[in-house]
This record gives sequence, structure tokens and C-alpha cells, in this order.
Amino acid sequence: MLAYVVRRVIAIVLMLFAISIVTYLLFYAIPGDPARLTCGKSCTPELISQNRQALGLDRSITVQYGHFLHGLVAGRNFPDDPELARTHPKFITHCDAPCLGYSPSRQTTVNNVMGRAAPVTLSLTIGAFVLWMLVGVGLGVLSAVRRGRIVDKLLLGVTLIGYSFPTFFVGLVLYDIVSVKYGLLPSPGYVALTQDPGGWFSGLLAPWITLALAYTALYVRLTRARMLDSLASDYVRTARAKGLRADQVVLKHGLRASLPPIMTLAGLDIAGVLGATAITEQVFHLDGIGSTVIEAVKEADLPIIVTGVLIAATAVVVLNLVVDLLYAVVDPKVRY
Amino acid sequence: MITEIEDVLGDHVTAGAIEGRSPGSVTWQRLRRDRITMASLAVVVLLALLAIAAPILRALHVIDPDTPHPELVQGLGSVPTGPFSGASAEHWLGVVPGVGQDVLSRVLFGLTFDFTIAAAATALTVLIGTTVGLVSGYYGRWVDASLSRVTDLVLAFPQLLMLIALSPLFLGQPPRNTRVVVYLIVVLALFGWPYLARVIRSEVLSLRELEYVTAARSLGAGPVRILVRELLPALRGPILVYATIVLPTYVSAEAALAYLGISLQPPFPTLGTVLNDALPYVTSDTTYLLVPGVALVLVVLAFNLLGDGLADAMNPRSGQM
Amino acid sequence: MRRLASAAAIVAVLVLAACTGNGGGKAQHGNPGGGQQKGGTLYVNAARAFTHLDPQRDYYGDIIDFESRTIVRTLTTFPAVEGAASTDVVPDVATDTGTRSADAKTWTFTLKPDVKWQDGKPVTCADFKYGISRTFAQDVISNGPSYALDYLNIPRDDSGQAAYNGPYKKQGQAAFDKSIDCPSPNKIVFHLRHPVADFYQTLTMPAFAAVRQDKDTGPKYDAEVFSDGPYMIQGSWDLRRGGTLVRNPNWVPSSDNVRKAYPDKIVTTFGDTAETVYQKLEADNGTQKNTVTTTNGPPAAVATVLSGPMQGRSESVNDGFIHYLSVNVDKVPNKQVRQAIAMAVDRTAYVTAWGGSAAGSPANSLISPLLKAYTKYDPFGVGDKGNPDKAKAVMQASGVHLPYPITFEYSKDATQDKAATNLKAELEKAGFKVTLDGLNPDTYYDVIANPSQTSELTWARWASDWPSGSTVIPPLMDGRQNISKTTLGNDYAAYNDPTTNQAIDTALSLTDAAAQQQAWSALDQRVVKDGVIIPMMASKSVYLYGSNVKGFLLNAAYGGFVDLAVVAVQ
Repeated sequence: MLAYVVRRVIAIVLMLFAISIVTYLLFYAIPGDPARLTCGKSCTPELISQNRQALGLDRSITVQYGHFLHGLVAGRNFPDDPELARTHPKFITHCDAPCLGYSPSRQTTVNNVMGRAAPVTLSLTIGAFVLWMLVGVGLGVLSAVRRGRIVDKLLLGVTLIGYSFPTFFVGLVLYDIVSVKYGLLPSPGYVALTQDPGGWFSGLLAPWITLALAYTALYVRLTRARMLDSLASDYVRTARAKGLRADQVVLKHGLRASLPPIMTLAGLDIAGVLGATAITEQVFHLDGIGSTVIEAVKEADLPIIVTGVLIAATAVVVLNLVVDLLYAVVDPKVRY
Repeated sequence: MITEIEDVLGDHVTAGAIEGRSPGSVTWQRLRRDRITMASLAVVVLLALLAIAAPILRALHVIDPDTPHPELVQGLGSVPTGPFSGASAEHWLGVVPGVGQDVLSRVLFGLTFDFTIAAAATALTVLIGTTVGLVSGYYGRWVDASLSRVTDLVLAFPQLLMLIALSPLFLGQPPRNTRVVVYLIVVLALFGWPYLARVIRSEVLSLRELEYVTAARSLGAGPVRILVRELLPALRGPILVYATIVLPTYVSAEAALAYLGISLQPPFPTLGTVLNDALPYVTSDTTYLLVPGVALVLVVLAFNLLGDGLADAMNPRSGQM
Repeated sequence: MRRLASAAAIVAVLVLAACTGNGGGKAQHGNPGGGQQKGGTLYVNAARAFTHLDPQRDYYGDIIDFESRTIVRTLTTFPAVEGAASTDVVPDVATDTGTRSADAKTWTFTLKPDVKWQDGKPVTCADFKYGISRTFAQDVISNGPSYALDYLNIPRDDSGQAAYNGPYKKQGQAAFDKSIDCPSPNKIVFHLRHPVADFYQTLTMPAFAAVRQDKDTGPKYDAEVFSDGPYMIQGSWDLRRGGTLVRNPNWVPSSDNVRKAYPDKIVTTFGDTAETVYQKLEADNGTQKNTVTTTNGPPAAVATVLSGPMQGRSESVNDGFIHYLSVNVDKVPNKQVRQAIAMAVDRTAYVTAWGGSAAGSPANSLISPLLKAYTKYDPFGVGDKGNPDKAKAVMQASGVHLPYPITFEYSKDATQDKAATNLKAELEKAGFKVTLDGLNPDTYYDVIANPSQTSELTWARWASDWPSGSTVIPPLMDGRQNISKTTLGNDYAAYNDPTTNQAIDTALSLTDAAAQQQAWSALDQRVVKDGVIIPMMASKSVYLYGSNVKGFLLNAAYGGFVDLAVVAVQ
């Protein structure tokens, strides 16, 4: 087991390395001038060349990538200009290791920006995850037990219709109509959990529902299918034949056998959710990683975009590992 | 979210290949008994026909998505004059606030656009995913190992996020319509194929040891022939199901990008741009919001139900219990 | 660097249809003297973030209005009153509106003794001088108005720019020091390069406000403005999401005749869409009762805001902005083709796309009807609706090949997409083939000012910075001050006509105000008749506010935004 874990962790580190290189190539080696993109409003040629220098874009891509790696380990100064540091130290921004870069449009380090955004995205994602798992698996079980009846069909239909609405549409309707106009949901917004747990919960309720709705239908169907499989399996039939109560059969045997594969997929989904969270954050004006990337796209702020992509990819890879390890713990049949 | 398909498909789909009757006819018979699936198939076909018909109808001047009619939108805040978005014999589903274009025509044309890019992106996805999956699964060893790493690598980049993140680099300023079309198709496919590649790979792993494949090999068939002539036909099922389920996600992605302003320049309509334009009118012109909303939901719903039905029909376990 | 269009204030000199209101129910409206009490928290919820709080970088009416009433004081300012009277400049930090020399090239002001920074130190001449000097550091202090560069008497370098690069690099500091004199801490003397008869109005802009040198943090000052007004920033200010202002304990009310500073606290939030801002205001729940906005009602909200129970909480105002199209003279050198475009456009359809009569009225001149320099005229005799057939006849007569291809660039949003769709249809009726290019609003004015990116037809809007044609015609139409190798400035038509330029010089040198405004009007008609500028709409804004807000006032001098000097909450 330990050897397996070590092997996987090494593989992950290599993978992250590859991801960072691919991302860098994708965003910095393409034709076009990233400095022009970083320039944003009121761009003059002087400003472009100044930005190019300040961000180190005048160097070759390998040198830039080297700077990036160096910054991760040792931190960086923006702009890296000893002369300016001497005359106007207040104008220099220092970025501690692990330094992810400097955002020209926000005039602060990417670490600062993402540091503030990460808790928002985490709160949103985890809350929505819990919601869609509880509701999705719960309704899935119900649907399986009531297979073929009205409840089953209704559940599948309703959740699928919910899934069919685009996230931004659901979000805007929940925000403008359900929450603001009729006050049926608390006003959305983000407060830190540590600061005000009640406010955190009520402010995120509408975003959670929005994000969860995109997934609930899938988990209802998935759980239902899994449940039907395991309820049809021999040992459940045996249990039933032995006279166990129906609900015990369903919960103890059916659900338990169904959960591991569901959890595996859930792990992958929660990692890949960052696109959908971006839209949800944008709709509810939550300053998470996704909406930060969207804002950066409008301002063509490459360091933020690149970091956002790296964070997302890292999340996917790391959660993949976590899922695999959990699976190994839960299911003894898995060989390392 | 698409990961589900891997699970639903499982390793049962191709089991039909070794049954006596052809798997196609078995599946079709099952399908015909499934009313919901048949209904969704009908809706899908109808929508596709409408999408194909829209440009023709326009050439015949039956529909007109572009021409403004400012005189029809003289309500407060330039909402359409008259109830139901100013619906009339001329404009069955009313006109667009502020400009007075025909809503029905715009939604039909939006269908054409969304179907085109979604179908093209799906085709490209299937092409890349199937090729990688086939090669990876059939050759095994280092080919499989390296292709699987590439698949994992691409899988690490969430598709929608990449569509957003890459847009300033590739769309530029000003974004030309042709660029937007190519961008949507290519980037959707580029970050969408790994799921299918994984499914195909695992199918091939189990298929390649089956008798008919080993028989073909021992008869001296080359790898290309085996891949294309023997394996590919057996994979039609999962590919079809995957395509059916992935296509509506591409339509949704188009709408989401339109919400973020990554879309065609006006007056060209897409389902996403029409829906987005209607969102602010949720209270002052609800009909306008409903039309593109219903159209979009119909597309996603019908394709998903159809995909479900197909998967069910191909799954030998369905019908048990 | 040259300035973007959009900018600040306007002026209402004619009958300002400010607060055209919509019937009754306005118990508190326009009644800044009664009913308001100190205390409470006022919320400002805006869709568009205040991009720059740094006074020298702030060039948008909403932000100029906001910070001029809260954290930034200027030598002179606009009074917080309704209608045209708001443009009668009053002293603020200065004791009066200044003393000018006979040639209007030297201006002297005396500072009030009890104007204090938030740490209690007095505001001095040196602080104003330092603040104004920052405008010259264009590499750090970007995006602000450039009047200081043009007006102050500093020698020019080879490229015609002032030979001073700001207080950070200090090249040419001695020359700058001569242009602003501090004979004593409470006296300031400006030496100008040419006569500026309305310089006391120029000084209302925050770009001419004081900044304390020891508090200047360069690019970071945007979120760290050190206040000399009635409020100050509490904690940190987030440029994207807003922040909180609390009372400045060192502000002396008796030193300030304009700001009543009723609320104890002003909480500013940004980022909702305009639609959501209005959904919230309509719902009027909780803190929304105490909320005002600087976002005007979007077309979809107008119907609700202007009808039913919302009427009593809404105001509308002619905000002084003129929407116009520039026809690039390099790309469309044929005057008849330009004129044909001008004849083909339907201004009423344009107004409809923007939300109808609540959003504005058709315009025929670049100068707003609110200005003295305005003259009503119809150069092509096609009225507001335009005449594509007549335009087509002109096109055919001009001998160009039809259809004539043109590209129209505009700042993309749902409303402008619609206006562009209308334009496309009208122009195509007149024999053009139109390609629409909706550009990212965030970088719009930079892109269209880029000479390598220009198209035949370009959208823009502009409002005067103070009530004079001097802040419309020269900044928009003087090719010499706008056009360089790298930029078109605000002159998106790339128009650089020697006759016009000379007329601008002549007009600027006039010291008789009325004669000067007449000269601006003549120039306005000249560029419109040449088909270089196609005025489209004189815009109006509609605002909704919370039910506990008292003394709601839209200040025409600042572009019709809410005037926080007199707003109170219950």
C-alpha cells in the first residue's frame, strides 16, 4: 500500500509538472503578444513595452518558465527593477514563495487574488457537492425502490428538466426572481464561514442549489442504476430470502454496494466542476476562482488566467489520487 | 458529469456482439417498445429538420431573423407593443424588445447554429476519442501507457474553463464570426475527447481477446484492418450513446459562453445569444424569455432522454427484474 | 496620453429637463433643505465598479461625483442643487472662485484655513501643487484627464508635449515649479500657457485636487486615497467590489458650504448586473431601503421603474451625454459617401433600441442641448428618421461602387447590439454592405483609438467636462492634439482639418464667453455637415432609489448622477 501511494504521488508530481508546461506553452507560446493582452485599458506602445519588461515577457519562453518556477520556490519582486526599488520602494510589490505571478489589471500578486478567491470556491463547491450527493443519492434510492412507478418517473423527469436548464439561467432566475423579487431564498453573497456561519450558509444557499441542480439529475440516475444492479444481485436476493426487512435490505446491502463507484465518479466530478462554478460565481457575484478568471479574461490578465487553469488542473489530478486511495481503502479487492 | 457515461456503458454494451441476432435489431426492437425514447427521438429529428430548414426558409423569405421593426416596440422601455411579446399573424412568437426582429425566426436560426457547431464538435470529439481509444487499447504496452498519460493530462483541464480561458488568446479583438465558430468546435473537441477515449479503450481491452478478433489476427489481418473492420463496428453502440449525450452539453456550453459574451456578432442569432438577450426581460417581457428557454431545454432534454434510452436498449441487463 | 470619451460633467444652462419626474409621490424630491437628518448608513450599489478612485486618474462622471462629495475636495466645485443652477461653480477649498489676470493666463486662489486632511494636518498649496503634478507622471498615473498637461505654462519638448514627467522621475521639475506658485501655504497661483477664461470651472475636476506627498503610493493610491473631505476610507477599498466610508473626524463642517454629509457611513458595492441592481431596488427590502445607485435603469427595467408604485422613488434627468458616430475620413475620403451615411441613419430607431423616450431623444449636434453653445439644425433635411432613399441617390450620384462595404465598431452589450442591428438595416437600404464589430467594452476606447485598427464607422459618446463647448470641440475634433503615430486620441474620425484647427485656436483665444460659445456651435455644424460626425442621441438617465432615502438629487453638473452631498437616510 505504501509503495503504491509513493508511486502515485511521484506520478502526480510529474503530471503537475507536465500540466504547468502545457499551460505555459498554451498561453505564452502562441502567436500574438501577451504583453498587448496584459496592457488592458489605455494601451500605448510605451506601456506595452514597459509591461513586457515588468512581467519578464521580453525574455524567451524557457527563461519565463524558469522565472515562474523560481518564483514558486523563492518568491519574486514586481517589477523586478532594483533601480525603482531604491527610489520608490513603495511602488514595488513583493510576492512571497510560492509566487504565482503578478496581475497587471489588479496591481497585486496573483497569490493575493487567488488567496482571497479560494475559500469562496471551496465553500461553493463543497456545499453544492454535499447537496447534490444527499439529494441525488437519496432520490436515486427512492427512485430505485419505486422502480417503474409514478414517483420514479416523476423524479427522473423533474431532475432531468432541472439539468436541462443552463446554469446561468437557473442562477439568474433564483437570484433576481426567487431571492430578490419574492424573497423566498436568502440574499446571495459570500461571508467567511469563520466570520459568520449563519451568513455563510444563507448567502451560499442559492448558489449551492444552482450548482447542485446541474449534477443532481445525473446522480439520481446513477444511483438508481447502481441500486437496481445491486438489488438484483444474488446476495441481496439471499438477504431478502432470509427474511430481512425491505428497508434493511435496501440500505444495508443495496446502498452499501452501490456507494463506492458513485463516490469514485463524484470525486472526478467535483474536480471537474470548476467550469460550472465559474458560471455560478459570475451569476451570484461571488469572488471565487472561476469568476476571477472570467474577469481576467475580460481584461486579458494572463497571469490570473494561467493560475486559474493551473489550480483547476491541479485540483483534478489531486482529487483523482484521493479518490483512488479512498477506493483502495474502501474496496479490498483493489490491488496495488 | 460525462464520467457517468463510462459507468452506464460499462462493459456490457458489446456483449450483444456475441449473441445470435444482430445487436442492432435487438436494440431497435427494445427501443420501439420504449415510448419516452421514441418520443425524444421524434423531437430530436424534428429539431434537426427545423435546423436544416431554417436557412432554406430564409432564402424563401418565409422567416427573417434580421430585419428590425422598431415601430413594433414602442412600449415603455421599448418592449413590444401588445401582449405576448407583440405576437401577431406576422410574428407568431412576438418580436425582440428594442429592435423588433421576429423571435421565432431567430430561435430557428439559433437552432441551426447550435446544431451545426455541436454536431461538428461532437464529430471531432468522436474522431479523436475513438482513434486514441482504439490505438491505446489495441496496442497496449508503451503506446497505451503514453496515450493514457496524455488522456489524463487533457482530462485535467476542465472543458468549460478552458473555453473561457483561451478565448482572449484565440478570438482576439474584434472577434470575427468565423473565428468564433472554429474556436467553439475545436476547443470543445480538444478538451472533450478524453472521456470517450477512456470508454473505447476499456471496451477494446475486453474485445481484443474475443475469438473473432483473435481469429482475424491469426488469418493475417493487419492492425489497421482489425481496428477499422473488426473492432470499430462493435463500438458503434457506445460511440452513438456518447455522441447523443455529449451533443447537448455542447449546446449548453455555447449558451454559457454566450452569457459571458463569447459568441457571434449580431445580428446572427445563436440559442445562447437569444436567451441571454431575453434574460433581463424576465419580468417585463416574459414571453420573450420563454421561447428560447424552452427551445434550449427541449434540445438538452430530448437528446439526454434519447441517450438514456439508447444505453438502456443496448444494455442486456435492462429488462431484468 | 489622451482621454477617452465618456467623461464627466455636463452643464445645463438651458432649460434643464432635469427631474422630469413622472407625476406625483415625490414628497422629498428636490427639497435638499428639509427633512434630512444626520445618521444612518447609506448604500451605493452600482453595476460598474469605480475604476479609479485616485483623483488624478478619475475621469468618469459617476466617480467624479462620488468622490467630490465624500473624500476629495477641490478649489472650486458644483453646488448640490437641482437643474441648471448646479453648474454655477462655487468655492470649495478656495475662499472664492479665484482672481484672474486680464489675459486670463494667471489665476490666483486663497485657501480656507480650516480645511484638514484626515490626520488633522491642514491642506496647503503644496498639497494641491503635488496632486496636480501627478497628472504628468503618465506612466503611473494613467487614464486621467490631461487638461493640466495642456494648460500649465511648461515649455514643450520636440513632440509638443510638456517637458515634465511627474513627481516620481522629476525631469523638468523646475519648469513645473514655475507654473504653479505657492507664495504662502494658503495661496496658490496658476500660470497658464494660453488664456483659459473658464479655468475656475476646470478646477472642479478631482484631477486638480490635492494629494499629500507622504501619502502618495503611486499606482496603489487608487485604493488608498487620503481624504480631506467629510468621509474617509475605512480599512481597505476594493476597486472591484467597493468599500466603506466613515466620517472624517477632522473635517470642519463650517469650512464646507456644499457637503451636508448626512449619513454616518456610506457603503459602496459593485458587481451586480444593472438588471439585478434594479430588481433589488424594486424589491426595496432591508438595506435596499437605504440604497441609491449610479447605474441608470437599463431598458428592461425602465417599464417597471416608470410605472406603478415605483414612480415615487424614481427620477430621470437629461444627463448631457451625446451619442455619436464618427466616420473615418481616411477610410471614407469621399464626402458624399459620408453624408449619405448621415442621411441614412434613423435616430428614432436608435433611441428605441436604447429604451425609447425614457433613454433620450434624437440629437443633431455634437454639443448637448444643455450647453449654451447648442444650436438646433438639420443639415441634410432628412429629419430624425433619416432617409435611406435619398442617401442611396447620393451614393449613386457619387459614382462609388455599390454595395459600399463599411465596418461599424461599437462597445458591445445587449442594447448596443440592437442599435447596431438597426443601423445595419438602414445603411444597407442605402447601398452599403455593413459588417458589425461589437468590441469588448473594457478596452473599447483604446481599440478604436488605435490607428491600425480603425474602421469606417465608430460609435462613441461624450459629455462636456464643464459647461462649455471648449470641453467638446477641441478634445474631440482638434487633430493636432489628438492624433499621433500611435493613437487617434478622441478623434476617432482621424479628422485633422487645417481650417477647423485654426478656427479652434481662434475660438480658444476669445475672452468673451458668448462669442466663444457661438464659435463652438459653428464648428459643430461644420463637422456634422462634412459627414465626419453623426450625432445620434442626447441621452437621459432614469434612476430608482430606496424608500428611506431623503433629499434624492440628480446633479446635472456631474452628468446627472446622484448627489451625495445632500442625500440622507431615514
